[in-house]
Amino acid sequence: MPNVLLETKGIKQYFPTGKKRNEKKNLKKISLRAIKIFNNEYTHTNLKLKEKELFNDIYKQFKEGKRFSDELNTVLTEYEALSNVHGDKLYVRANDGIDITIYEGETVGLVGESGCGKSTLGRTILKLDEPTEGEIFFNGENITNYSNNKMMPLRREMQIIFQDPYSSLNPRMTVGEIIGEALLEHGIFKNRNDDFENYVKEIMKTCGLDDYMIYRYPHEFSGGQRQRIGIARALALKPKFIVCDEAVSALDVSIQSQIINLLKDLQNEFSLAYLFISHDLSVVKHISDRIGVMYLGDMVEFTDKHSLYENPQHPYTKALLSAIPETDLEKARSKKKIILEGDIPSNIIVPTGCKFHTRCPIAKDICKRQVPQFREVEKGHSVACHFSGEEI
Amino acid sequence: MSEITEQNKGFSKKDEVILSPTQQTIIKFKNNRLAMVGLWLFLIIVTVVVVTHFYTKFTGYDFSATDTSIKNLPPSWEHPFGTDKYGRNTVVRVLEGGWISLQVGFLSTIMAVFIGVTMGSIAGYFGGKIDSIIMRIVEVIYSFPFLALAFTISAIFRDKPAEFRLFIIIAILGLIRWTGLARIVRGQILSLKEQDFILATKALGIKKRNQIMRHLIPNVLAMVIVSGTLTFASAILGEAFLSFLNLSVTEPIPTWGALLSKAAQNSTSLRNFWWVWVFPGTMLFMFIMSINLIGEGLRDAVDPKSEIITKEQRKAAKERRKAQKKANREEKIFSKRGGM
Ligand SMILES: Nc1ncnc2c1ncn2[C@@H]1O[C@H](COP(=O)(O)OP(=O)(O)OP(=O)(O)O)[C@@H](O)[C@H]1O
Ligand code: SF4
Ligand SMILES: [Mg+2]
Repeated sequence: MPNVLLETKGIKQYFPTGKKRNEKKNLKKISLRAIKIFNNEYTHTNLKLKEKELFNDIYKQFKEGKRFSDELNTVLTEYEALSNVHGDKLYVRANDGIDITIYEGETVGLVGESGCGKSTLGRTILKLDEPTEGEIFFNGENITNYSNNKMMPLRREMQIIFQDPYSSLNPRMTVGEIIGEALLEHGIFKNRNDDFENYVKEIMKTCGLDDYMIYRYPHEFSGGQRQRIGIARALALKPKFIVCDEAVSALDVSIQSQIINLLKDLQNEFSLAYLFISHDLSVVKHISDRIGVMYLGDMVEFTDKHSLYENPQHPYTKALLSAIPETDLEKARSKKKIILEGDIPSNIIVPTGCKFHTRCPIAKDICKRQVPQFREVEKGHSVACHFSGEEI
Repeated sequence: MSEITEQNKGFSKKDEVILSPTQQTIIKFKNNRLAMVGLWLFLIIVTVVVVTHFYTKFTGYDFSATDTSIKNLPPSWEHPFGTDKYGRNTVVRVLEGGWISLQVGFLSTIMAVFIGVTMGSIAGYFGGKIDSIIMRIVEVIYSFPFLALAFTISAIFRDKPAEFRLFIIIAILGLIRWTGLARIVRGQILSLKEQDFILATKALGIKKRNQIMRHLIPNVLAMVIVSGTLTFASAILGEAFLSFLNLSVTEPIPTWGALLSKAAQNSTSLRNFWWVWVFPGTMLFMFIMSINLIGEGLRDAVDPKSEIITKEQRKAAKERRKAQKKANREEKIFSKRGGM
């Protein structure tokens, strides 16, 4: 087994929205419902009481331990739960406690719907954003609380390729400057001598850029070439680990495969580890060794490629896989399509219990109340579901 | 040139023309006819004014010397711009008048740009509380009644020497005109900060100082230069305006605004002795216009979406239009004949 390169423990990334949770309307609705039930089932002792006072009276009794009919009890419990969270500060819960392990020289794929927090995770483990909670280990060092200065030498080891090839290159620097800047900054080369230029040209060649382009500016390149510049910039430092944040999503299919093959070649050559973020399942299947599936800031399933595609356990993974178009007609006929109902819920006020219960085809009552543990169901196959593996 | 080399032109390494964004800006500017006219006008006026200033200084020209025997003469060879009611030569006074305007323009613009860029970048870069404090200050200054302030301050320093009053004027203009620039710079920095290449500098481990010097400043510089020229023009106008109200430097030192205000003081001179106000007015107008033309040209030039239209292309277009016209005319004649 190769060494663990990067490990996270319960990474949370919350972005403050500056707002507070306001549930007044819902509380009012629930209280009206409670009064209705109360009026049906009990006779009034004091008819003059206003609705609000009546409800306060009932709620007070309930809190003191008095039990009413079952129906009324459930409504009052709901009221209590909601009034507890009323007034809480609101956060965008981009990552909600994620454990991930990446070994040296392997590719971990990360898939999930748009906005589920993939890019945020990629940025957080490189400490481009400070994590709200949790710990990050790189090469066995706990880098969670490292300052910017202390991170500096580690930056050589971990790099990122950005999602957008247009905004990730400075328009006022030549390609050579873009690729070589960090080399000078880290003192790998002392100044812009011939060695430096040759090295930059070599890296450019590896990434499929002709070396005479070194003095050109980014606006003279196509999207695919720009992406290569981004890759060359990340590779120039000879890192051990690269986050590829949708590194190929912006490109057309022929260039996609070129770049993916390039990444694979480089991996073989330098034994790189990748965190390969994408929402394209077929691309991820092609490049990854192990794959994580994210939903609304949570990791819901994490396992190696083969068991994910052949034996998916989580209902969300099954739904995602069923959405891949099948080229084989025979298979396409027999394949069952799972269509998820509804939209992805808000990641500010998240659903209780299992976050997926609002759309899960096999959700039961317990899913609403209890958060499923992210646990290992088989060796190396972790799932967060109460009913993992059940037929849909 | 043989056919093969013609075909290969622009495809081999040697033929590559690499233009940096700055070079492109310069080319675009050079090919903008109006902007170049503005630039030449600007350079000529500045040269003449500077030369006149040093000439009068070294020859000890006396601006307060009066000669009533030649008062209110119209323009002639001896006095190209005529003389004023004290018999002073207007041409020297008009050219010397620009000296004050230039000083005010340059110094207050430098001041405004310096303060504006610093404040704007601090606000944009750090954001949060610092940003809101600076932006509130900007709003307060922005809503300041400029004239009331100028009135009060000039009244306070009425007895001070002219140079001192000049610096007060420069300071007022500089301290008031930086707000627009600060807003522009802040906006630019805020939008730059969202760009991935700034995040990339962090990922690459680039130091904060280099991040600012190499990535942020070059990307805001173009906008700063453009709005700097506009600040320059408005500072000169502002000074002229203050002189017109007798709030700037006083007699005998001439300024364009003061020359105009002298002329406007009574309607007789305004009607009969037109040369007293036409010449300083024209100079002021041309100078401000040249700066604005330069500013507009720069604005076009730094816009990456605007095309480069070279002289050759313009010529070719003209030729094409001419040919088209000629063809049309011939066709007309032909059809007329055919109709007959
Ligand atoms: N700086 C921020 N402040 C507030 N919210 C943020 C911030 N960055 C991201 N978010 C939110 O976090 C969520 C996750 O964003 P993220 O960019 O990680 O999604 P993603 O999974 O990469 O999506 P995509 O596939 O579209 O790239 C989104 O809902 C987004 O609105
Ligand atoms: S825990 Fe329940 S709701 Fe969540 S995925 Fe599993 S079955 Fe569906
Ligand atoms: Mg993303």
